Amino acid sequence: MSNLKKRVALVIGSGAIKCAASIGMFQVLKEENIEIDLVVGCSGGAIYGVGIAAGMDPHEIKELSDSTWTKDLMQGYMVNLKASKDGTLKFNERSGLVDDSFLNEKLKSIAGEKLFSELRTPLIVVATDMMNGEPVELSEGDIFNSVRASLAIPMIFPPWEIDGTLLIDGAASNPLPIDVAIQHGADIVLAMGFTLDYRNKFRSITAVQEQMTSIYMNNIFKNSYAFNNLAHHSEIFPIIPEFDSMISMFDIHKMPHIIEKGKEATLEQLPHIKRLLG
Amino acid sequence: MDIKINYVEGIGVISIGGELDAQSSPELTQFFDKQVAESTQNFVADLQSLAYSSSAGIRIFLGMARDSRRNGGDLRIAAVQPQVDKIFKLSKFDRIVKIFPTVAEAINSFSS
Repeated sequence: MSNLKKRVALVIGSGAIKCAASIGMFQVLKEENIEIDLVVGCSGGAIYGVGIAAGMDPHEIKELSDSTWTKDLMQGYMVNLKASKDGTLKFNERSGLVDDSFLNEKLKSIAGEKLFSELRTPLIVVATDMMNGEPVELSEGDIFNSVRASLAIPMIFPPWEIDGTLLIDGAASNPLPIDVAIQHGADIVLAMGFTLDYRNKFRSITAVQEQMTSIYMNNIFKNSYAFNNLAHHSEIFPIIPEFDSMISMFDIHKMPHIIEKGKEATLEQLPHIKRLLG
Repeated sequence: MDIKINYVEGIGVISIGGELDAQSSPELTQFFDKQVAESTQNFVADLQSLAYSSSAGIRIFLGMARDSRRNGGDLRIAAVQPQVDKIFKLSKFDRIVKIFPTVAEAINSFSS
């Protein structure tokens, strides 16, 4: 690698509340004065990506995070699930089981009226085209719409339309978008990603569906990492926190543990990152 | 990084110690290219003393596997340490190259 300053990208993959581990990662990078040239976020990773790219303090990001992952995110879910099963709720490509007003309000409190161009560090958010399954990169205009699209978990949150394209969760096409960082000239990629937990008890069709989702998503995650690893000319540092127990979407009480594990995973790679940065 | 080779039944057992990353990987590439040029076909990479491998390290091992296979031989991996094993599994490297718990098993695999 040449002696020119190496361009460093932070990629935060999908993982819902687990993405809060990126707060721990960010704390370490700030303490070590490691400058980030590009942030790429997918799904839950996009929320934290905004905070980091905006230059927010880790503590501020944590406060916003704590108020986001609450059961209010899922308002209407059980009622709508029942209604969709008994046929009283008609589902189409724009439907979601959850009333997304809480989510939208939360995202507006994080992103405000900010535009991508106003961020301190360039940010790219990844969503998926609902109609053709292709990943879509969003890096212009207002941030709220892009993050809302990236977070549109299929069937749960209603898809989000931007410029005539119906968009859903970036995780559906690119759960850890290292390729985006590579394409935008990153030499060193710090890639924080999360796998889904596997069940060992199955008492319903929903449980089997969840297991299959974990199997599909984890294999997409690894296959995509493997390909990007081969494609890149330089280093990808996988920062994969290992949690002590299953983390489900509303485990706010586990937030300190999640952040700590993010910090640990980053510290593990830190000597190697610093070596490469010279 | 520390690299040594010894031959067992015509198989080049390459012991790699230290840490393998973008900075140290050219040394391993040069070393391996020389072995291939000297017509050794089959190799075992003994990773007992390899404490760390980065993504660049994986690419080097893949290159070594590819080159030895082009020559009609193969590369097998042995004695992988936990940190390195994690990255091998994440990169699906273990799907491309056979990995064994010990050097002896890796050597024996060439005759089975």
